[in-house]
Amino acid sequence: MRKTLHRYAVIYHLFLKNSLIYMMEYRVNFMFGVLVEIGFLAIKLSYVYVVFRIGTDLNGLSPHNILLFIGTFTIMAGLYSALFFFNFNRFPELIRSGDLDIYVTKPVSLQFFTTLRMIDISFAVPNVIGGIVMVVIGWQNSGISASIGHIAGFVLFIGIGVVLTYCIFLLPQLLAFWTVRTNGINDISNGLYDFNQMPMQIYHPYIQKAGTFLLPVFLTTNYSPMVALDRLGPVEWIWGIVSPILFLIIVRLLWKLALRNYTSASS
Amino acid sequence: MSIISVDQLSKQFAYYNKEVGLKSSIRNLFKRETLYKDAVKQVSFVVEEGEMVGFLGPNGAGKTTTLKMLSGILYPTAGKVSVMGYTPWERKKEFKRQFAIVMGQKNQLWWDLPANESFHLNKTIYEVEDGVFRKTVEELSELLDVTKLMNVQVRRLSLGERMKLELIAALLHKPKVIFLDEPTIGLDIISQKKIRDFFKYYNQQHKLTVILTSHYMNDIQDLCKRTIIINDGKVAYDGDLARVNDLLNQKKIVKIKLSDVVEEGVLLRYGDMKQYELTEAVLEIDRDEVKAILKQMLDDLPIIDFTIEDLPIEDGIAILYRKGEQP
Amino acid sequence: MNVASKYVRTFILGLQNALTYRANFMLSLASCVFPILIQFFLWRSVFNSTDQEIVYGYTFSQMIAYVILSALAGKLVATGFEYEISNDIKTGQLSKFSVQPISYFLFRGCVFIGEKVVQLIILFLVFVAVIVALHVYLDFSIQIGQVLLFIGFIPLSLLLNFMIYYCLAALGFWFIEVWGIYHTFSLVAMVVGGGVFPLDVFGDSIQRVVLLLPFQYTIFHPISIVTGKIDLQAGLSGVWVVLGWIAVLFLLSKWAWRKGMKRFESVGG
Repeated sequence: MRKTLHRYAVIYHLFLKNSLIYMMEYRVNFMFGVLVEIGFLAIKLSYVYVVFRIGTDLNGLSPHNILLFIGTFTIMAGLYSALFFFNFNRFPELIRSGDLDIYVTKPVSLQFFTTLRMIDISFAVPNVIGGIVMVVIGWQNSGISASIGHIAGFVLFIGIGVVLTYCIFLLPQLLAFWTVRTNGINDISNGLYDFNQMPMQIYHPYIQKAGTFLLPVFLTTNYSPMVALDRLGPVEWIWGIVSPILFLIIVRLLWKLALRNYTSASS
Repeated sequence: MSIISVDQLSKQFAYYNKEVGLKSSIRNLFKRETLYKDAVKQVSFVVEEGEMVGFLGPNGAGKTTTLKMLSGILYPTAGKVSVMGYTPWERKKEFKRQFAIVMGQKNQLWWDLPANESFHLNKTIYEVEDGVFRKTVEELSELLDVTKLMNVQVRRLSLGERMKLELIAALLHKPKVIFLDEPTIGLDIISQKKIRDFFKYYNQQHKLTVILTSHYMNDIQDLCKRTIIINDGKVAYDGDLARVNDLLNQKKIVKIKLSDVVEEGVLLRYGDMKQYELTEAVLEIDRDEVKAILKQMLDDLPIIDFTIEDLPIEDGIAILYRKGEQP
Repeated sequence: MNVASKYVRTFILGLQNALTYRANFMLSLASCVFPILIQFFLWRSVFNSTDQEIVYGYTFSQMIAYVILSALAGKLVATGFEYEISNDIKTGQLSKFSVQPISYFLFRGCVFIGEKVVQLIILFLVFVAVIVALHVYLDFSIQIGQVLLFIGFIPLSLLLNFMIYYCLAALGFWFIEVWGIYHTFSLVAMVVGGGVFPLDVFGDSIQRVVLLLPFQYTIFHPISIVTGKIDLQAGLSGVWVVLGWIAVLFLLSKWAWRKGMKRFESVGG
């Protein structure tokens, strides 16, 4: 078990190294990646701007509280595009071209190999930096003590958020095993994810429930700031710990099912 | 015990009849007609350790499908396969670590990186030890004459150079069995030859078991004593290549270009006409007579260009069947 | 082939293209629902938590009308040909046009308009449905004059956006890789054009700058006409400003493209 973990860590390290070499090769793309993310950051900041200009509390959240939420969302968006986006995007092409066939024969987890292979730092840089700045400002002005408990809880739920983001975005991509085109579905999952642009508290209670329990989109970026604000109840704590495990299992099972279908049907 | 044994292997594909147009697209949403195609039909054969076997057959005959089942990429519809004692589609890690598949049209090397980096990744994935890895890379790259290319990005290399590096990547973990699907496709003659020589040498040194499919008769002739001809999903012939080679090679294809129009009737005197377009013609001529007839033609006709080619495999197999002398 | 029919054919080419990809357009239209919903809830909680009836000069129904209509308008004026142009430059395809008796500018223009005709028809129906629904459910008032002016304004917005991106596309002559610049430009242009929030939400100093730029006429200005935020008088005066911008950008594009073509030809494509 430990040996396997170590081996996978070494492989992931090689993925990272290869991605960096690749990035050096295409420096213009790196610059553009940063530039485009600054554009997206501008849109996120326009929400911050509007909230602060209005100046009143929204559903019990002060502008600085909201800044904490938007900052977390920004960090998560950066991590998603750096760690997963390119892999998921390339996935249908991998199936169409048949390159997946070669990967199937490798003595390494196919899911690991195809969904985590490419890492693009450029997309993370503006978002992660901008997001952290927002979080720090929002944190201080919300009067949250910088205690170990708060910080550890915040970071823990960032980690859980990354896992859930992986699951939520990978699920629709698995459809590529059956139908080759997934563009339309991508638009929808991106749209759903963008609900985190605002704290979940502003949405209709039904939407809050659906986004928490049905498809835990809100869990990816809302629980970190909620822990910091001491607003996370016991039920949410339990669900917050259980759901990433549950969804990893669901994704894994669907992956196996999809692969089984692929290998018995494709030519 | 044979290293590979295949027993009654069959593969059936389901597909849907697709008509064009919006109307039928909507209709298909609700009710689709499922059709079946038998890609591989009850194929059986065994391969001994260290053997090199050539798969021959026309396009779509089921060669690649068979190889994919042997490597565990596809599940069969029926039948049994054992490769080194493993059932491929169970995809045991131990099995994967002992074989390799190379497909001429697919690459596993990372396009934008030097091959070296992909080798390192493979080293970790296949858990090859440092010393062994270094020695293997050194030996193989010298044999294939690509030592200088290790640090060049793959996309900057020629097709032939790339294939050589692909082979190194596939052999790093010293597989006992390797499947080669059209490894020389699109390569120039010299690269083809080089890769063939390499395999001949490597097979002798390491007792590697090879199954090879190719469009080029030369590949098979050079490397394989034994051939399995697959046609329409079935094994049409399994045995000595030399015998079938004679049959396949009884005829040659002669293509000529003329500076003036020559009537079809005139050309028919020299051989069987396959194609005729006033100043261009394709003739089928017996192998033994090619030399004499061509000489005659060059004397008689205003020929400006000509080529002599092997019969395409498809035609060769058709001849086999037509003559009713299933070998 | 006479001059006119040449361009009619180009126009039809764009039309066919749009028809082929209509499903794609419908999907991207459907994905508008999400940002609209996000903003709907944002504004609902904003209006709930203040005592005021009017925020940033908008009633709730006006704000919701703005959010929905601007999302749709944003889809309508969106371009994409700038990527094709830079590709034409990069691959040297552009030189094909310099020997053919067809103006590249008019070629691109006709394809663009041809593509947009299909979207216009779809969106026109959606617009009408949305305005009627807003009227029924949110008590949104409809004035015929404003609606007519809005409908007349949309083609101008399209033309303006075409000119903006045609000018931008000239960058392809100087830089081989441009996608990052295009993408970022379109994101920022969306914010300052009013595609995310109405420009009234910005402070005075920002507004002063943003309203001077042409981008507001692609989304903010026409939507303001139909929501009744500005009167007919102000709406009409916008027409002259847009025409002015189109003329200026036209001259700018001529200049930039002449310089670019010189470079293109001297480099040899």
